Amino acid sequence: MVSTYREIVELLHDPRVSSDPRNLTASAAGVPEGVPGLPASFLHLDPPEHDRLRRVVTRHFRPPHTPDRVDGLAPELHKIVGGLIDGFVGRTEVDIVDELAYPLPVAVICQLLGVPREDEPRFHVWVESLLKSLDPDTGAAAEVQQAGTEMAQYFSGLIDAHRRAPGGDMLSALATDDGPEGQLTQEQLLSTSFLLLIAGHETTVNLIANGTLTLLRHPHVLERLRRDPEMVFRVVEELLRYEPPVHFVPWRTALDDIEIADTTMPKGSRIVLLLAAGSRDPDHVRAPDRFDPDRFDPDRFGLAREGDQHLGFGGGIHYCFGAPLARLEAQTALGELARRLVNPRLVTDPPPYRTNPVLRGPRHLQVAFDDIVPSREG
Amino acid sequence: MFGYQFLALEHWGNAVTQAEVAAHNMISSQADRWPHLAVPVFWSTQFGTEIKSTGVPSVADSVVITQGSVPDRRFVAAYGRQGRLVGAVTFNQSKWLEFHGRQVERAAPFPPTYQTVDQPADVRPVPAEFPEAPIPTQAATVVVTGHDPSERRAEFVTR
Ligand code: HEM
Repeated sequence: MVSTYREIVELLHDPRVSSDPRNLTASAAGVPEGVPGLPASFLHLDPPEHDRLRRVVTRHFRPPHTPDRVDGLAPELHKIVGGLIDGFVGRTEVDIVDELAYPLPVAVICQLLGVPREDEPRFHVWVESLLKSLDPDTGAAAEVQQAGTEMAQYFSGLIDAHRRAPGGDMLSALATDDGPEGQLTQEQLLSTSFLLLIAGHETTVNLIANGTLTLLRHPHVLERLRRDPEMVFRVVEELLRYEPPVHFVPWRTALDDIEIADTTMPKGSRIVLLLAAGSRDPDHVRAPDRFDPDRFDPDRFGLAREGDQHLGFGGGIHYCFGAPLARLEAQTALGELARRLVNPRLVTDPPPYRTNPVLRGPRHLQVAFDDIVPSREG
Repeated sequence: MFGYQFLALEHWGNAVTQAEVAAHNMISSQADRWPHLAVPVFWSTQFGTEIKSTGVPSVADSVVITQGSVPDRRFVAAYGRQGRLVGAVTFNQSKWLEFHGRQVERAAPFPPTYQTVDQPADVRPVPAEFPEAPIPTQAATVVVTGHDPSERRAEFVTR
């Protein structure tokens, strides 16, 4: 278990550390196995396979080859958020998890991968079943297996259809890739799609839910955000530091004896990186337990140069692939909540939490309000 | 560390770290002054390849590819001098550079013996073949410890 900022950063950049669970000699309990019958996704692979798969997928997600994939999703994302909040009109209380934080990432990933609108409900059911594999509380193995198989079939069909008649989405781009490094196999395409779906889901749910909760606990920050929408960039960065969706990464292995902080981690042992603790390491950041978005203000005088970094998205070669999209989703959702909810307040504090220790966030978040400000479009 | 040579470091990164230490020392009392102990680093992008270097590879007598593949233009090359690591160069593998910088600070043994990801099957060092430079001291080196400028210390080690 490593909990200090500097040591976590060192290990994230240490080539003697593997993300491939096959290297674990110790117990692999709690390490997700991926989807039965599919090859490992790049989250659980080491170089060179990791690097090649990530490069091929990045080519269709980020500049320079794909300059506006994320920016291009922004208008649609605003529409989705606007529609979800429109659904609050005429009520005085909603569950932010079920009615905003949860449906948003599924809708966005459908948009990204080119899942037709009319299939979204089916898709939603599979995702919910699959996500149960991440929650030790439920462990509905048969249901997970069933959902995995059905979704793999669905995706195979979708990939074939996109290959025949490509659209502007990412799955079409991957299925018809003419890049220098060749195409992904059908199996690699499937495990990559599943990875994007799962990695980008529960995490984003928690960022929006933790964000709403934290803002309601700091009404002066919420009030400032309402008056200064630009502040949302700093709010989301500070949330990723202060109340991060991913609390630790449990799937690293030492490929050799590693000496760190006067300790030797023996070859073959499992390394748990406590990202959330590292982001609150008092040797790294001042007043770590204070929620203070201004620490990310680039204009503020006297910030330590490295002191404005957090570990919310990890680091090194596995640094979160979806970070620009995750930021945009959280900025849009929290910005619109701040603007449109009139006199919002928490109904229960603390709210009930999910039992998953890796991905920390409320299971439900009841919020009461007086009114909803109309959306800009309507 | 690098055979007690005078080195001209012409990358701007070195100018910045030196200036930080110099500025601190100008305004500090004798007891609070810092030594300038940064391991040299430089980087450059050439024809789409990101090349980074740490330590002083040019004093090396041997070189070995420790990660990746030269034909793929993605690799880490470690440089050694008389059984100690003195530098490393990465081609499109810059995320691993800092690790090797820390190994240079520790005067780690060369060739490296540890297991890493993406290790080539054959890790045999070959002569580095840099032009000879006159080296005044052969039998000792220095180990650098500490992270923040205020914590950096150099320690003399003999073999
Ligand atoms: C707030 C939301 C998110 C958080 C906090 C988050 C956090 C993280 C963290 C900590 C890692 C590193 C895991 C490791 O080191 O083993 C990671 C990796 C990853 N994330 Fe995210 N993530 C978020 C959203 C997303 C989204 C929206 C996507 C997809 C569109 C995504 C895709 C990925 C992928 C593919 C990886 C694996 C990268 C690799 O192995 O190279 N994430 N994420």
